[in-house]
Amino acid sequence: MTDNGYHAQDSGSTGRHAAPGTTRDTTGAPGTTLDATSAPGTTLDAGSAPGTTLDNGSAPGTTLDATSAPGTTPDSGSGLSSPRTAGERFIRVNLPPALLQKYEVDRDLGAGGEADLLLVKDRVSGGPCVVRLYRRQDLPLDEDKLGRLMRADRQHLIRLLDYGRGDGYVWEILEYAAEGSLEDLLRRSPAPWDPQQVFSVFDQLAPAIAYANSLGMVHRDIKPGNVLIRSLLPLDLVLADFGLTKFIAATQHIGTNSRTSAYAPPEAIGGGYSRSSDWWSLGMVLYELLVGRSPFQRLDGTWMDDRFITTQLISREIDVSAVTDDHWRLLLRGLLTRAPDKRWGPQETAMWRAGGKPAVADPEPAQSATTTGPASNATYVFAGVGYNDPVELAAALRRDWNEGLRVLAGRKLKTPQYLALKDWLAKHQRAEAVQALDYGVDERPERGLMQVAMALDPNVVPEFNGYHLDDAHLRDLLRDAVAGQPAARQVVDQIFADGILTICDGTPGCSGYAMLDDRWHRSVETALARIQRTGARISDADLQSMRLQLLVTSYEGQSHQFMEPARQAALNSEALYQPWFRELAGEQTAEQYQAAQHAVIMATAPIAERQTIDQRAEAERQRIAAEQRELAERRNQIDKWSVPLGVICGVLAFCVPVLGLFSGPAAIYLGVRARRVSTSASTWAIGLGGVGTLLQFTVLIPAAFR
Amino acid sequence: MRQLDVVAVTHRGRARDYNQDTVSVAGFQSGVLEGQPVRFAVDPVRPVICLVADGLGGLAEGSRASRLAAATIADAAPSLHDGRAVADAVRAANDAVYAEMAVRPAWSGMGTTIVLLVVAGERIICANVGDSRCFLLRDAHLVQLSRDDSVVPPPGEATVATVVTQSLGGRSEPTPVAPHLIEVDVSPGDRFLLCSDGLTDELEPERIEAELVKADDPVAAVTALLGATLEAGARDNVSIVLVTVPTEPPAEQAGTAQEGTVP
Repeated sequence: MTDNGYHAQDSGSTGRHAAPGTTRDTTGAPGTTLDATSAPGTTLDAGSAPGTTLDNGSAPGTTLDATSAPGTTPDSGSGLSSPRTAGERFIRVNLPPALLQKYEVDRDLGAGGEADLLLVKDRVSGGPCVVRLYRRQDLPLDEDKLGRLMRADRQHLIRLLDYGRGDGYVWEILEYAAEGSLEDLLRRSPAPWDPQQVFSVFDQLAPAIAYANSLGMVHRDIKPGNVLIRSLLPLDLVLADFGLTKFIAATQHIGTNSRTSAYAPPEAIGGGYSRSSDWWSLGMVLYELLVGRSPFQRLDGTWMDDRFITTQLISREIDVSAVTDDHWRLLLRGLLTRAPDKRWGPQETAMWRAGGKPAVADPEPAQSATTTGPASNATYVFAGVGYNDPVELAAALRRDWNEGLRVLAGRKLKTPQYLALKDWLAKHQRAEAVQALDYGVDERPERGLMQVAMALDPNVVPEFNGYHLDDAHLRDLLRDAVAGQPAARQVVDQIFADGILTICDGTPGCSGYAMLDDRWHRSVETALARIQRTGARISDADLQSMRLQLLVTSYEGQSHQFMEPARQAALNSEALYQPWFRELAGEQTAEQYQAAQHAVIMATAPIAERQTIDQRAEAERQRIAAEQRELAERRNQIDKWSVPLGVICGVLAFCVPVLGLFSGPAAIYLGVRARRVSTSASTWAIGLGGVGTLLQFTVLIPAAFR
Repeated sequence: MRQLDVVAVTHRGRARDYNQDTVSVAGFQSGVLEGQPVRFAVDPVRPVICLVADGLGGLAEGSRASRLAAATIADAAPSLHDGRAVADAVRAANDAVYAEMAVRPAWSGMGTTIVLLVVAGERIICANVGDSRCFLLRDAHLVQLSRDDSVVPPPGEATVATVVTQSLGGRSEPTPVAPHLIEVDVSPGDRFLLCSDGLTDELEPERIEAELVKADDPVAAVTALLGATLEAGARDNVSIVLVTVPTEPPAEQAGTAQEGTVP
């Protein structure tokens, strides 16, 4: 997620959409910030508890003060702050000596994976500022850029007061913005805002971005949380998070956090940032202010997941029709132009502000994107047959799925067939299909093929590898899969892995599929994370079954479908011997994660049971082994004693009449036993016993009775 | 790179009593009536050429053209380091065919298609004229690298297999050709299939892909493809060249030594 505590507000919003009791992070590894905020047990509710304490319960080093105001924001003066508890003053981090001379720590503002954030007081001037301490010294410093930042006009950018390194840290000293971030402000006074207010935001941000760009810097991460407020009246906004962080950001993938990817332009998915990237982000921020929520926010304010956002960014225009005002909509269309080189920049926005109407590259979609372009008579030969009608080609692609995959497999090689297809699509003005080729094919060829076919003919039921995916057919497929048909199971797996249902959303017969798919993926991820915490290892076949089950429960109103079997499974007395299973079975889960919980219980109960049985068998084996060891030990003891006893008995057989008659055979017996301990003593005992007995008969007894 | 494993075969099929196809691997050329798969191990220290030429026309002159074109291109092998040189070699073969035509009036109009694969270091250059094809099998997908010089059919109709829009020779007057070129970076395990239309007219790509994927040995793969073609009728001459790029070393070294012997 974020790289430092400066983004504390991010975790707040993450926490807001990832409800307690789940973790969306499939790796589930503690030690990642995202995990810390959304892991089960660490219930965070950013919306309701601003200004409460640090979440000390989660893993050290990952603790983000999810609820505190952003780094450079004080509680004082912010309308939503509640009294700080003593815990807030808890300071985990000390300043390195070089800084301690100059600054006095006031408060811990939070921490991220890479950095701690401290509010400090300048010992000389007494003024507040913010120290961001990176817990590593090996960060390369771009002196030139940092120098530029320090000299930058403080009107537009948050002031970088100083930076340095030493004692295992790299630090930045930043200006302290007293009014928090735009995101806080949005929380206090929710959008939609009055156009006049949005104008004042625009008037602050557009020049700031233009100024930063003029310094040769691209921010790359403009979002409400990174826009800080110096004063409210008049509104004075500055861009923050320009400095050193970028070096870290550069090594991290964007997109691990919805709040970042929701504002990032499409080209950022491939890592291609340019100056125009910031203008896209500005468009997204303004959209949010005007409409009241981001295009990637659901009506209830929760955020869509990253995968979905990426899919949307790749495949769809941002629909700005929710902006009613014509002039504003023009601005957003200009800023949210997908092609970076055609996106509006400083000139166009300035023109727009002055009341002008600069041209927008993409025409405003009239009613639907499915209007047939003017027919081209170009013919594409697919599987030996000529096509010049997109609809017919779409049908052929659906029919001859594998041939389609073979053509698309030529993308990286730029094979003639692939290039001919792309060329043909362009001639027939199938921009969406071309986009699907460009972005969708490499990672997931089947999804790419499906998108191409759908873009060619959006008016038919989508088909995946010969399987119709409208509601009725999908249910049939699901039924077959549940019944154990291998082909159906495999297709469902592919549909899951490729996120096929999402792209079908809204096509004929496929309404509500994005939600369905989202619930499905979410619950599977939740279940997997929970299973990982139990440490149980689940076979692939069981995982497949679990995915199926969770698709069933993802349908509206079906989430309790498996409540009863899960309850039964949780009663498995053998399984309950395992502490982890006991914990799992006794766990209370939030409503929306119950289906996942049921699946986990059902999947792991047999494992726990097997573990118990194995443990019992093992215990039994060990008991038998111990018994046998004891027996052998005892026998050994006897054997050991047999050595002297055998010899003595032998001697007695030699010397004492009558008694020798008994001690002779005894000596032979003991001698045999003693053989394992001492061969010579055993030979002696047997010999003496044998000869003694004979002597008894022949000499001693006759002599004694004579 | 270790040695290339090449298996080649040419066969007259079941309907023709002559073989106008020519295959050539690193200069070894064959146009026998009913060949058996032959396996080569070629060290690609210098550019290696594998090619299939499909002589055109019902008369024996088709084979003359294909043999001549194959020999001309194979002779140029040492210089074929880049696409331009390959294109030049193909043009030179075209000139050679027309020059040969001038020798006897009866040979006028003889022609041939050509598809060739040049392995030059880590690059592979594929060039073709006509409808003999080159496929790459990578990640279990059969991707066509060559571009057919076929007449684009009217919408809704199938391509007419017997007509090509350009060939080496094939007309009475010398006509220049524009070979289609594609360059590909080699990756270990790649398999390139060169074939005449005698194979692709009989077997769907799907089938060819399946046969290649399931065969565990190049000779078995070629044998299976040839067998399937003959079974399907083999109305034309069939030629198949399968080039296998070795997987990275610690694959079994012993195998290479064995492959050195031509069965």
